[in-house]
Amino acid sequence: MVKKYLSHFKYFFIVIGIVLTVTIIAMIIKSFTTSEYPDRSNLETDTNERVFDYADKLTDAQENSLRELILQKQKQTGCDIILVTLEESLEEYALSYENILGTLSVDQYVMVYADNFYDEHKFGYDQAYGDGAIYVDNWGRERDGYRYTWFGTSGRAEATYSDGMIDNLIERVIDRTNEDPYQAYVTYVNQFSEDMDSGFSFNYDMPVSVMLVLLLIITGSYVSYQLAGNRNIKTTRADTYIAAGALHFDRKDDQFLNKMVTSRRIPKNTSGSGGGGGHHMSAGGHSHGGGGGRH
Amino acid sequence: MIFICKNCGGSTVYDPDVKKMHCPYCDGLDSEEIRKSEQMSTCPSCGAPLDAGEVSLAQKCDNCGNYIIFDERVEGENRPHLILPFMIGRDKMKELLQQQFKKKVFMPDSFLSESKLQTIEGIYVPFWLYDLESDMDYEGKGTSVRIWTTGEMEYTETSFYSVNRKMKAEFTRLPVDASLNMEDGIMDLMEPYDYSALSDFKEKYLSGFLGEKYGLNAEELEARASEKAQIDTENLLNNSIQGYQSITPVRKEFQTSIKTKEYALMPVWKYDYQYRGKQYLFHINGQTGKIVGEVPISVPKAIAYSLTVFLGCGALIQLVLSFLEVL
Repeated sequence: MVKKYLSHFKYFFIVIGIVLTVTIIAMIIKSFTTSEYPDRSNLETDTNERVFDYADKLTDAQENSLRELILQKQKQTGCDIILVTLEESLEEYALSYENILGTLSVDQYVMVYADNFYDEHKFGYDQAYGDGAIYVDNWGRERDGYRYTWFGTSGRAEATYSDGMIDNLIERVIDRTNEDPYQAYVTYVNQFSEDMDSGFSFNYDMPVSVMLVLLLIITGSYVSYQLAGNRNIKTTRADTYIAAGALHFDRKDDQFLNKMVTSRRIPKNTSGSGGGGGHHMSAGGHSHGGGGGRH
Repeated sequence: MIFICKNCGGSTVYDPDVKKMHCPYCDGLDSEEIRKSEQMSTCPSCGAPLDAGEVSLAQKCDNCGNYIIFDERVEGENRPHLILPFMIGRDKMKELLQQQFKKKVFMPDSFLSESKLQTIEGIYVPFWLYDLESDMDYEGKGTSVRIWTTGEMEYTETSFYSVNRKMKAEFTRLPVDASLNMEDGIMDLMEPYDYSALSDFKEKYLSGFLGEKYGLNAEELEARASEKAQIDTENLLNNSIQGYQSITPVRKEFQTSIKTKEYALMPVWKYDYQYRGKQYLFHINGQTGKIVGEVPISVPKAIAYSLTVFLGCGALIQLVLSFLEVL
């Protein structure tokens, strides 16, 4: 019985073994080949600070720890990594830019702040307004009662990040923000580093429910296959016992009786299609990407 | 009667592989001679008691293992007109079962074990073959719908037709199972048989197999023959009505007239497999090899194999995700 079991799953186990081996080898190689970018070449930035904790959500030790982590990840990613915490409404501030940016929604106030902050300090690893990312976490509530955050990208980061990657990063950070802001910001830095490192983002943490459904579908298909193949099917046709020429139609006609025509007006399709997000210009005229969330 | 080998005195049997009488003791071919028996209650070879029951035609003696044919059940009005000799022998039949089920891992291991397969018996099953004519006179109302648009308007045209069919179908050798021991539904699924191999009845084809005489006579089964003919005729009628979105019958008259009927024996291998107190019956057409039956499932095996797939795929997906993460 065991022999039959092993024989049945032979190739399945071999595939698992190969994938396991390849993954381990890839992990080992990766650990030896972490690349670093050349030294930062942007000399126009007016500050060496990367952690701006205006909302005072971090202890001094946590701030220092974050600075060290950011320094290390900046070299790995070749991007400036900025963190800003605030605790104020940005409505008045943002609305003063409406003459340049057009009408702004409440979730865009923090975007305006993030873009301006990045531009005003001339952040960018390679050049002013160049490669980098900024995460602005506003602990102050806007008029609608929500607290908004913004993850902004610029240069190479802007080109790398897709909408899905942005949503993934924001979701991961916001999940931890209220419980432990420090861990949330560490997540921001690490996730940004991983995303820039891999060049694309993959939702590695597949939700348990999705995984479960997927496995149930696969297992269900396997079980169905094992149970199939013994269907008791009728294999005679209607004319199996009728010899050629032994079926006669003495009458075979279809006579038209009458017809009826109805009409209706086709309703117009009034539903519109959704717009896309993505890249935008800051008040200073520089291109930024990014997305926001609230907590 | 039994068939005895002239060379060695052993019991000879019909061998579907060589299509001749074969003595398994001395390998003699067509070396048989008939030993008649006056009575059905004892084995003509060893004298052991036999139970012929009501319908047994041929039987295997539990004592000496010889195959006995009951003379009086193949004589007179009981004599079959036709027989379709087994064309698939025991080895070929076992091979067919192995082929179909060896990859079905949920089945109990014993299902395909040699000791179990050895218990499979070849049986000649009685059938009545009817030549009959069926007449169908049909009138229906067909509806055809056409839809088109012009500008902002959509138009629907519904046309009604009177559909008339008057048809006659001549059925040749429509088979109806006349056995008391075989399920009608299963015997229907055994069809079709290739009638080109039908031959006049000869007792020698029975030797080596079990057999059953008809338990229901031709008149008793005429209604079932008509019912089968009606189903086929209605299917042919439906095939002749095309192009309608819906069809409503207005009038349908059906009648059959039976022309001739023949009593025939058809070959079926029967596998009676017992598992955890439940009976699983498999039938294999002795001519075409078609298999009909419910697969027995070993629950512990099904759980073990399914769990392996579930956990193995889970591990595989996780590994692939980890690999992508590393990339």
